[in-house]
Amino acid sequence: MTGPSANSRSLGSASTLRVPAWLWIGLSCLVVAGCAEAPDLGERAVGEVYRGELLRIMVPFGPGGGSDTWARLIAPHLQRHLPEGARIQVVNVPGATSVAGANEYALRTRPDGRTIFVSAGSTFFVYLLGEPMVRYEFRDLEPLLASPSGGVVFVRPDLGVSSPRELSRVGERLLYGGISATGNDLLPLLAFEILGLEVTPILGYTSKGATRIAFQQGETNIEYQTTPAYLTNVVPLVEAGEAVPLFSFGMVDGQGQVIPDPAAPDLPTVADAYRAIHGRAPSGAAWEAYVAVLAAGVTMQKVLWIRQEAPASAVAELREAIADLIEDPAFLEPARRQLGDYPFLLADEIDEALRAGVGMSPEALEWLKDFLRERFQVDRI
Amino acid sequence: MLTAAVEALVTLADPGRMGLLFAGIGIGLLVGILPGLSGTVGMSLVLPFVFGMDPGDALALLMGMVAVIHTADTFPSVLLGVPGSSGSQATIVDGYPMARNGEASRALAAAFFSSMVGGILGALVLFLILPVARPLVLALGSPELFMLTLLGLATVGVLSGTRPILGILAGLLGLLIGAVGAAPAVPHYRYTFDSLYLFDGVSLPVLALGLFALPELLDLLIGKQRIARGAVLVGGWLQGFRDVIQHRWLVARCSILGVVIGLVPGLGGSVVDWISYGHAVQSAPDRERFGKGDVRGVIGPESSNNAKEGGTLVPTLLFGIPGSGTTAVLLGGLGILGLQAGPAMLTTHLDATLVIIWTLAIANVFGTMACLLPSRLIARISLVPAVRLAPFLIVVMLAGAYQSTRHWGDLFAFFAIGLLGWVMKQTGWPRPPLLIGFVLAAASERYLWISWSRYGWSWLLHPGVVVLGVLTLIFLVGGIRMGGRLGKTGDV
Repeated sequence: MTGPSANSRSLGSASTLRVPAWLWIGLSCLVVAGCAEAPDLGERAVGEVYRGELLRIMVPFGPGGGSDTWARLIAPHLQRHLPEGARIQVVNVPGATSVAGANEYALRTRPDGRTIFVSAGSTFFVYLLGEPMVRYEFRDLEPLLASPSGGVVFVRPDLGVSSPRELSRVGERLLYGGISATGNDLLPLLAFEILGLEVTPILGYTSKGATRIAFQQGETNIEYQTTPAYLTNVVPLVEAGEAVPLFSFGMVDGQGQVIPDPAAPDLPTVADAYRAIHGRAPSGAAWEAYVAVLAAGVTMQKVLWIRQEAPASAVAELREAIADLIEDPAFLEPARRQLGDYPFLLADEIDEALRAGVGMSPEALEWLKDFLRERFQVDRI
Repeated sequence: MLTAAVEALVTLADPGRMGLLFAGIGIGLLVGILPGLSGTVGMSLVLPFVFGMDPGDALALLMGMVAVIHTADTFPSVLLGVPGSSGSQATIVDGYPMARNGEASRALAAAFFSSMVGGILGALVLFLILPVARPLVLALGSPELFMLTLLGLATVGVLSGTRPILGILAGLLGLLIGAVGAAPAVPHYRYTFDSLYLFDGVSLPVLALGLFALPELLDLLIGKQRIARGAVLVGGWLQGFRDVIQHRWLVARCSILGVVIGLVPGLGGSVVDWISYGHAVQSAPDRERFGKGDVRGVIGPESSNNAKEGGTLVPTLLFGIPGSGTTAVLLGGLGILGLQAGPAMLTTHLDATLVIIWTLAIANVFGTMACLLPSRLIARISLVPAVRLAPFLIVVMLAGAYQSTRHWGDLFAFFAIGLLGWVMKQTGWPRPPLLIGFVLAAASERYLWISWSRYGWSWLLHPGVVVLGVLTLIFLVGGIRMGGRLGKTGDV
């Protein structure tokens, strides 16, 4: 924005009409692309790399969304833990549910350590499913920090159920409101499938806020919210007798096991619900797919990445700063308030969870694709 | 609640906070004036400063900006025929012809004054309906929302000029352009030709700038004209004020319309100005001058577009559903401040909600003054020959278009749509219906899809649906019949 309009002053005074459109395009092109050659960060010692430098956090969504707020929450605190004079700027590159931004980061930014990237659950989903527009490869990126965010499933009291076991006997009356089968709704839809619930999915709502209204209106009667939204917006409904919580999605630990959601520890997980309904532990391709999607969508709801080719000293310095960051009470207090009571994960733990998510067996992946093709007319995968 | 309201005013009256309020107003005015820049951009500009701020300070800054964007965006709409932001599109229809008639000052004064009244009324209505807003919002299911989009689409009747069939076709073309990109519920991509840019469809600022601004500029250049046809400006501030006072009931009705439509979640503010424009035309006893520079065509949309900011805050604050890009970022800002939108905004965080409402009212007063004072001077832009204005304007438009997604596709889309707009203008096709169709395409498809998959045919019998359906028919038929009696729609 500053580029082209600053340009207008010098060119505007010329007041010629014969400047053809292509020249304007070309000029603004130069202004935007024209970036002076910067010194190589790799030649500096750890502890000095980002001194006086500008570090960009690229967010593949527009301002105001979950990923954007996450990045903006972290940015000022991370800046404090970097060497003096380092500045952090959040850059939004929205488009195609994060594919545009992720492609741009992986293919078009310079691997000079000056730009890092935030991925969201949906960045993983489209990647797992093999969406043709995906050009990025998570194996070429180094994870720096991950932040989980779980979800809780609840129903309207007029269904007359209070446990997952009773839910399985409701029959065909269940109506679920969601946004899109290939987004975050994939997780609840898989959970319903695994538990054998006969749920009619009604997709196309604009946001989880809109589905929550639909739930309150009775347009739907089974619903999930991310745990922070559950705690602020649904717990009051539960207390007023307008919603009944049934189970959480759970989280994936380092061994690929589903463990209770730390922010809703008292609720059974999908695995517990399955045991209560079927009397045995869940297994098979469908379950494997669920665990993979859970790892991608919940355990790694937000991940901060850097290009693998970035200078090693830059990566080391960022890792040190992040390790300090997640011990810093001045950061943890607002973070807990906004993100819920979840532990932050560092590189090693992320690698474990990644293997659970990205390393899905071919059978599980095929099952997942068939599920989406047959039930949700997803024909691109 | 009244005591709490007074306390909130005292909280806000702190000098430091007022300073931030004025800073917010300044940014809002700037963002509003620059075409193509929306509240989203302004919000992301101030958001970084919100971290660690006291909530009262931060709210003054954020809301000061939100409140005045639709005050300042009137300048480009009236003077240049360029929509300053999505809220001031309908102002062009009569505001720009007024500028061409040399009445720029009058149009601006009327617009700012009605904006201010609308903004204050909006804040007041917001305060009054806040306690009962929750059930109101909950009463609107997907079928009702779909019918509201149809009501918005029915304004094409009013906007079609003498040939309703052209208006309807243009509206359908708008729906078609709005269908480009990802389908709302199923991952199907339409008319994207595997280009990542088209996955998200055409962006609204690009469409609005291309459709209205570029053709206008081309014609001025081709005719070697200036915007005001005469050499002098006629009518001034006072005339504008008198117009607003004379049409005070129109201002009141459109303000209330603005709040009410604003509070409909998911529909947001994008159609408020068009619906009030339609109302202004339909409620007028004489309609000959609409489209050629009737001041009522400015007063209607302008009083509603500031009032709607109050309305959109209801779904934003009480349900966490943003009604527009601006409120989406505001929601992010609230999160940063530790204020989670939800029922608590009326109980635990009532003080913050009231600070927001006060800021809205106060910022409207000062924002209007800041716009009025230089408006006489700025109105003289309409006397500058287009040849000298053009280079500057083209850059501003390109920057505005490119700003929307920062993808090269924006620039190509801008020129392609500009060409379409120019052809439409030359051949006498009405352009506003195309814009309306485009704006409502996604929402109408989405809510129809949901209504269908949830209720089958039975949603057609919901009482709200029936009432809204009848209203829509009246609006459409009335508008089309009126079109026959209207003269040829002037510049638009």
